[in-house]
Amino acid sequence: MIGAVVVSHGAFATELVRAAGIIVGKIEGIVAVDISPEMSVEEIHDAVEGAVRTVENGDGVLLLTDMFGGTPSNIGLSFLGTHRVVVLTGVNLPMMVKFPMAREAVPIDELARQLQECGHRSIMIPGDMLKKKAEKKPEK
Amino acid sequence: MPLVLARIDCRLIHGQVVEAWVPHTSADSLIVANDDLAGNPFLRSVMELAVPPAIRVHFCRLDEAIPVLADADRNGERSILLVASAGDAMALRKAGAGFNLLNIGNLHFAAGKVEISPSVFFAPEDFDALGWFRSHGVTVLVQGTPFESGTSFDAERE
Repeated sequence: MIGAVVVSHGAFATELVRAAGIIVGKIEGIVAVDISPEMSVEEIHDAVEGAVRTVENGDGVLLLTDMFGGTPSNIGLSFLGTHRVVVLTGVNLPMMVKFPMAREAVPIDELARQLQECGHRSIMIPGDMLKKKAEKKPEK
Repeated sequence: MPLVLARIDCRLIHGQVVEAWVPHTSADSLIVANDDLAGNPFLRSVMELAVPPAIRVHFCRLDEAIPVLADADRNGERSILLVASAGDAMALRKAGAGFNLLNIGNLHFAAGKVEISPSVFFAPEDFDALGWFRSHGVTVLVQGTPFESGTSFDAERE
């Protein structure tokens, strides 16, 4: 099973995992790492490494980070050479919700691409969609 | 195709249904029997927005639900039936809706209600409805998502 580590500034990671659990039920093989401002780079590195070790079991570990260019992402990238990880940045709730079912079907590289696509597609302006719908099909 | 799921959920179509139950049951249609929603086209469009295009959505009043269910059945749809309350579920079962397993996902809290699970709270009339289900051979399972084990209503009572 592909594991996942969610790494973020503040408690976003923990709360994101919790929120996804409300929607699709408790997700197995996932660990959140919350990074607080007083942590040193070494401490963050150790926390992420510990988390990766906890969830890795041969199929690779997805490192879901909050923002490309941020510390969680930069430190996540430092594991590329030493562990079988794929870093995916800008994690959002739709990606988290998709993760448990999507990982059943594909290897980690493909999973990362599918979740990237899912994350992109999930950002929308529903008000505009409603307007378009109303123009196309006036309410009877 | 008979119903793949009959569910009481005061939120009707939302994340748990679209992201968890639809894929889990391989449903390809949602039947939402709710009088308030049937009279509110705006809310209907909002709810429909988040449903993938491959899933058909039928909104109907409670008293229209039986023919809608029959139509979906004839079309071979794998349907999830959604109602907002135990009373609505009971009305449909009395009218002939074909389910013997009833899922309860969300029934929000209000003063005087009893907590059954973190997302399900029963009012006295809910207990009455659930008693009616039990005496008519309908198994009631409190289960928010398919991946958590359901709690049967009887076990809750003991």
